Amino acid sequence: MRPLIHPAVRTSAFLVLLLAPAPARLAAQTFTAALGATASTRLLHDQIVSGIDVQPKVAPTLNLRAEKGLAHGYGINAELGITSGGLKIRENGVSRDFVSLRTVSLTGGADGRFILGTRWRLGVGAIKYFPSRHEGLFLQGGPTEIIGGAGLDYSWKVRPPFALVVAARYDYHRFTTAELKSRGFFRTENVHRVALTFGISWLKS
Amino acid sequence: MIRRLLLAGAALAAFAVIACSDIVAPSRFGRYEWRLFVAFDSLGPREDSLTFHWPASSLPVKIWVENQYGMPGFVQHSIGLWKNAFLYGEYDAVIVTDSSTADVIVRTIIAPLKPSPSAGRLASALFPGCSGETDIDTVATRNQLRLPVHAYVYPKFDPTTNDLTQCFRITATHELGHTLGLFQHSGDTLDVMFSDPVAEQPSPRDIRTVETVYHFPVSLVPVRP
Repeated sequence: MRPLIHPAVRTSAFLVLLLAPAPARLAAQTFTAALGATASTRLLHDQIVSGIDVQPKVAPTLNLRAEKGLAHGYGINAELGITSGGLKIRENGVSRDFVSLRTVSLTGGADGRFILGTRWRLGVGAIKYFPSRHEGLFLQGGPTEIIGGAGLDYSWKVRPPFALVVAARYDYHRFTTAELKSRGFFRTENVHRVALTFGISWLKS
Repeated sequence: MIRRLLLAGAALAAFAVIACSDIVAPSRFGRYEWRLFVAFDSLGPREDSLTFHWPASSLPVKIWVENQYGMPGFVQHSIGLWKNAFLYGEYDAVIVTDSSTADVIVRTIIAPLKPSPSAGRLASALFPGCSGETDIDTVATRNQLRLPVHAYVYPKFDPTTNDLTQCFRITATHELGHTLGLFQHSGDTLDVMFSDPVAEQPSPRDIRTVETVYHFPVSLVPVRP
């Protein structure tokens, strides 16, 4: 029997709820909105006569992040990432477009000071795929998977309480779909993504 | 410091174990012959095997359907079944209103005489209540498929005295399978491409076969006279 709420969503919701109660020694809250691009490794490799790769194109990305400062320069945060781009099918060196694909990821994690004024970030949560059409490998819809990632942020305080932020992200999750499973595909594909975003943050003391 | 390094090493090793395996595709073995065999009129083998599938540039395939016995509905249902057989959007089709632009024409009359000597006829679907046929015209060059492809789905008896819904649905799916490039009949009664089909939708063998067709090098290209 399928659980009512996907385990990845439960994990993500738990982490976000964990962030909700403000710690007693709260230093500050920072809200960031950033735009950029995400590149991903392939979602799938198949073999029908010859090899077939399914890979997202480089996708425009929106990141929204809320952070709460703790003692000793550490913090906790929640990050919502949205990508929207195309999916390409590559076979015998020829690529063609398939459906459009949107992903929404929600992660919660910790951050802290790193070198040269940068901040590190670690997070885990869930990612959900939303295909533009329910067909082909997405005939039964897009999957929800657990995701984990790390990143680096650098900010310039240009006009307090506002700052410009550049953020680099790496994340990892596994991919399959209900349709692929029903067709006899087994195991899942390792998917690695990197993103670079530029944005603005607002420090609320 | 050493403990941190060990922890980092353990984390990396765990990540490597988790990430070492990728998705594994199922085997596509267990498919039937789909190619059209034609007489070869030169030196060498006396028989040539021809493969056809609709090129991506032809999608969606335009199908004109005679509006009788509710046939447009059966063909629309069949389009959905075949479209869902593919994982990567290899096939799509739409029903059009103008037969002069159609790639495939589906009629509800008994198939007339073959249009040309180069046309092959796939007579099939010997279902008790209705029947179907598809003409594949490879033109004189043998390397071209003349458009439109003609398919026929018609009742054997007065359709008002019998409910032919299931018969029309199965036969339309079968004949549409021929227009996709499945130019042979399956030898398995569970397949919709069996010569006397009872399956209401493409079986796993039908799906494996049509997937193969759409990734196999083609020897026939569609041409319009």
